[in-house]
Amino acid sequence: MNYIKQILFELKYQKMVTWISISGTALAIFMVMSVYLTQSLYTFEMAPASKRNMILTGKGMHMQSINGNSMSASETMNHNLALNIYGKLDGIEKISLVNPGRGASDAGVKNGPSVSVETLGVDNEFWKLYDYKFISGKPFDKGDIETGNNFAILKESVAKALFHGTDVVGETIEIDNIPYTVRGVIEDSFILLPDGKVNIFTNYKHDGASSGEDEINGPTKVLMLMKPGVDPDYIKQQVSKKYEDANRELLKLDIELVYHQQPYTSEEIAIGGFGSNSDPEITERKKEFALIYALLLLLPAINLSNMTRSRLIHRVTEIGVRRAFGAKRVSIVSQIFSENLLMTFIGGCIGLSLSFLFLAFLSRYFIPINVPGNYLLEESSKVSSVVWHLFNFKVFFIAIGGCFILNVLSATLPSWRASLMQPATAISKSKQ
Amino acid sequence: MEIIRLKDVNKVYRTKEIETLALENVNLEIRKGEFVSIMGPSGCGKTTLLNIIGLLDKPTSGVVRISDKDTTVMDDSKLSEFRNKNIGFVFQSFHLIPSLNVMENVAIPLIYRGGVSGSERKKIVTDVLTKLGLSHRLRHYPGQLSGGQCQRVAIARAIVGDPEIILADEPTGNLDSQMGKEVMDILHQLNREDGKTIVMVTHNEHQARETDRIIRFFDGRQVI
Repeated sequence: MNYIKQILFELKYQKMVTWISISGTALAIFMVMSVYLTQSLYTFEMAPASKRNMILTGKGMHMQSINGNSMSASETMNHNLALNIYGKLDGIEKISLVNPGRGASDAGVKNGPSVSVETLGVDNEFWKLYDYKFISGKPFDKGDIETGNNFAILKESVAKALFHGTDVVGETIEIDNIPYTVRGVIEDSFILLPDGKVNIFTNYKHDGASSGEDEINGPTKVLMLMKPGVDPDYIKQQVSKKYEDANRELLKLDIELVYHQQPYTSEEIAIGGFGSNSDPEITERKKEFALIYALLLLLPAINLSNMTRSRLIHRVTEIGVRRAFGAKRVSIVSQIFSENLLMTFIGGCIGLSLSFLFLAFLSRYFIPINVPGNYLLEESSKVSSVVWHLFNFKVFFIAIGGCFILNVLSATLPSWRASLMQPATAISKSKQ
Repeated sequence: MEIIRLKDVNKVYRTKEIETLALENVNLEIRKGEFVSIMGPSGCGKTTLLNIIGLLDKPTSGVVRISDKDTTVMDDSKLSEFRNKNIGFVFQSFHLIPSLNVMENVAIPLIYRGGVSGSERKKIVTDVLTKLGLSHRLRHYPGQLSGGQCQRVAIARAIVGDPEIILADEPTGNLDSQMGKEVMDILHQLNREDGKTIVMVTHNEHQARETDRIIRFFDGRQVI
């Protein structure tokens, strides 16, 4: 109880020093949470990407000439090559081939409204990797993929923009003037989830379409759902061998594929900073982030150490008086420790509140803008509430635990030095 | 029977440049229940002597026996316990802790004593403060009290743990004559009625004459 009173007293009479101590910790917690939140924006799991971190992505390839000419290129692969490399891997539960080829398009209803949309061609397996919630209709089936007809599944916001409702199965829309029959309508999903920007899914017909003289290029991206407990490295090892097999086939074309750690985990994709012709350097990035977290926690600890020393200069007489009346050194040290812990706790709570405010700001002003389809997203009330799923109390407790430990360590020296002073010397300080 | 005995006590303050002899070969005996004044000009070593008797500072050499115990062989923890049980301090500037109210300030020696429950502590503190006429100021903070009231709180803190010895360093130095007289009356009452041994540093000749004995110091040496 007296510790709280002491802090409140110091907030009143040593405003600057005490507030700097508290705000240093608050800022550290806030920064740690903010860095974590912005990092986890690209890896957190929620519907429809509830198994996001179990999904591996095979995309792109580094291709180079064997015969010594300088040809080296980053390319995308066709359907057949994708199946050759990723089609039969042990530890994979489901595999889906998708075609991001079309990208941004115009979608509209004949003689009706039209909107700009992002499209993605997907097969029937895609819907087994993700848990999209259908408002009406159903996912593509095998027949939809094998048929020559065009089908589309719309997100709720697009359906509402084009038809003012979601009961539109069987209706026809045009995407870049090509007619598609609506197979279903799904709920909008958070913009930063995989394919979150996609407004319309079309049926990706596995026609083996290839481009280029080597007949291995194409628009295909592979999504794989790992079985529970499977290590991504195990999959990568198999894919590496598949590259070797593929290269034997490609000898006749005088080219080879250079393996660069495909398929990628969601974490590798989130960290980014690499292309098809380079390896993801996740360890280095993790070290960088560890350093950032350490610095974020260390700086307020140093601040607190100095502030504790400064606070104690004003309290030397008090320490002397307490010692005169029987306080042992350990009592003095524990008193200062407890006060610092309490200040850390107050700082942590302020930091936590700031993190909440940051999230509120993020969800209200940042996420809905500067992304394609912004006008559609703003119609979805779900989007702003989704970011609260990002909040992770475990990270907060780890961060505040780190602050506690560092703050306790940083208070050790000044408090112990204060306790070592002879009581007479401490008391006489008030006369100086 | 002597409750305080100093034998060949010297105290030297050393800095890089100079050595200052604050106390030189002090031999002193104070009997249990005695009220002793220490007088002398500023800088003669009065407060140093009081600090050494109160175990707030260590002599450079010599022996300090309190209640027949050699304190020079005690470690810091033992000294803290010993001070807590046997010695109470009254300072010229009161040295109340501004963040604590009157009750909390007075309770400090009992908090560090251990084994005293919260309710017991509250009762003892209230009794002492009532005895000193401060029962209506229990929840006040030092900043809300007059100088005389502050010194009475400080005396309450000094006696709350029922020590045998009270050391007072110019206890009326910051008070006007009326308040000073009130404080002196309390100290005399504690000496007479409760049998406390009191050692008081003072510049006030009149107050000193009212005590049992005056010990005079000059340049670190006892002259009478």
